[in-house]
Amino acid sequence: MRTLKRCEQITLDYERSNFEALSVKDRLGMRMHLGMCVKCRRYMKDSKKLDLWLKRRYELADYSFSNVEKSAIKEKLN
Amino acid sequence: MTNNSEIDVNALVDDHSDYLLSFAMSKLKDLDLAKDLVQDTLVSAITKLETFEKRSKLRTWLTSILNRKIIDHWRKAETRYTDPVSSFFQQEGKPGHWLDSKGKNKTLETIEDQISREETNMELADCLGKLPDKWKGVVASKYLEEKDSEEICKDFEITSSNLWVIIHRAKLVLRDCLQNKWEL
Repeated sequence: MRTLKRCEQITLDYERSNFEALSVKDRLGMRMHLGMCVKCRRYMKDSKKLDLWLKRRYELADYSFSNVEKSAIKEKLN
Repeated sequence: MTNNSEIDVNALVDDHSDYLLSFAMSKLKDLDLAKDLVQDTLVSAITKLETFEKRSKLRTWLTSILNRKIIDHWRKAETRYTDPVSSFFQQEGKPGHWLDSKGKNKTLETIEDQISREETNMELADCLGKLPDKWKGVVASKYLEEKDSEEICKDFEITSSNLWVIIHRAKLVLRDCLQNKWEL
C-alpha cells in the first residue's frame, strides 16, 4: 500500500513536470522510484502516447451548417 | 475605429459560422449542442457588437465568445458531479489498485501498429465522452488550445494542483477505457 501511495505521487509529479520544473529532490525521488517500478514506467509511456493522441484528436475537423440552417440563423439575427 | 453597426449580419454567418462550428465540435463532439452554442455566440456577438474593438480580428473575437460559452457549459455540467477527483481512488472492493491497469504487460504503443489513426481518434473520442464534463474542458484547453496552466486554472476556477490531478486522473480513465476496448 505504501508503494502504491508512492506511485500515485510519482505519476502525479510526472504530470506536474509537464507544467512546471520539479525540485531537485522531487526529480531524484522520481528517478530512483522509476528505476525499480515497472508500473510507473508503464504509466509514463502511456501518458506520452496519450499526449500525442490527444493532440491529434483535437486537430480541427471541418463541419458546416446547411444552407437552410444558415438562412434560419440569419433570420434570427436580422 | 470603424462603425461596428455596419457589420453585415449575412456576411457574419456566411464567413464565420462554419469555422465556429468546427471549433465547437473539436471541443464538444455533440453536434446539436455545438450548433446551439454557435447560434448563441452569433446572437451575443450581434447584441454586443458595440463592444467589439478592431484590435483583434472579428473571428478571434467570435471564437473567444464561443469559448466562454463552452466553458460555461462545462462548468454548469460539473455541478452534477460531487467530487470526481477524489472519488477516483475510492472504488469499492479494490483499494489501492488504481495503477494496476488492465494491460498488465502491454503499453498503449503496442497497439499503434495494428490500428489506423482514424480508429485511434474514434476510440479516444468515445473514451473522452466518459470523462466528467469539466475534465473534458480542461483536457481540451490543454491539448486543443494549448493554453498554459495559469489560463486553464483561471477559466475553470481551479488551483494548479487540481489541474495536475485532473490531467492525471483523466489519463488513467482514458488508458483504462482504451485498454478495455483493445483488450490489451
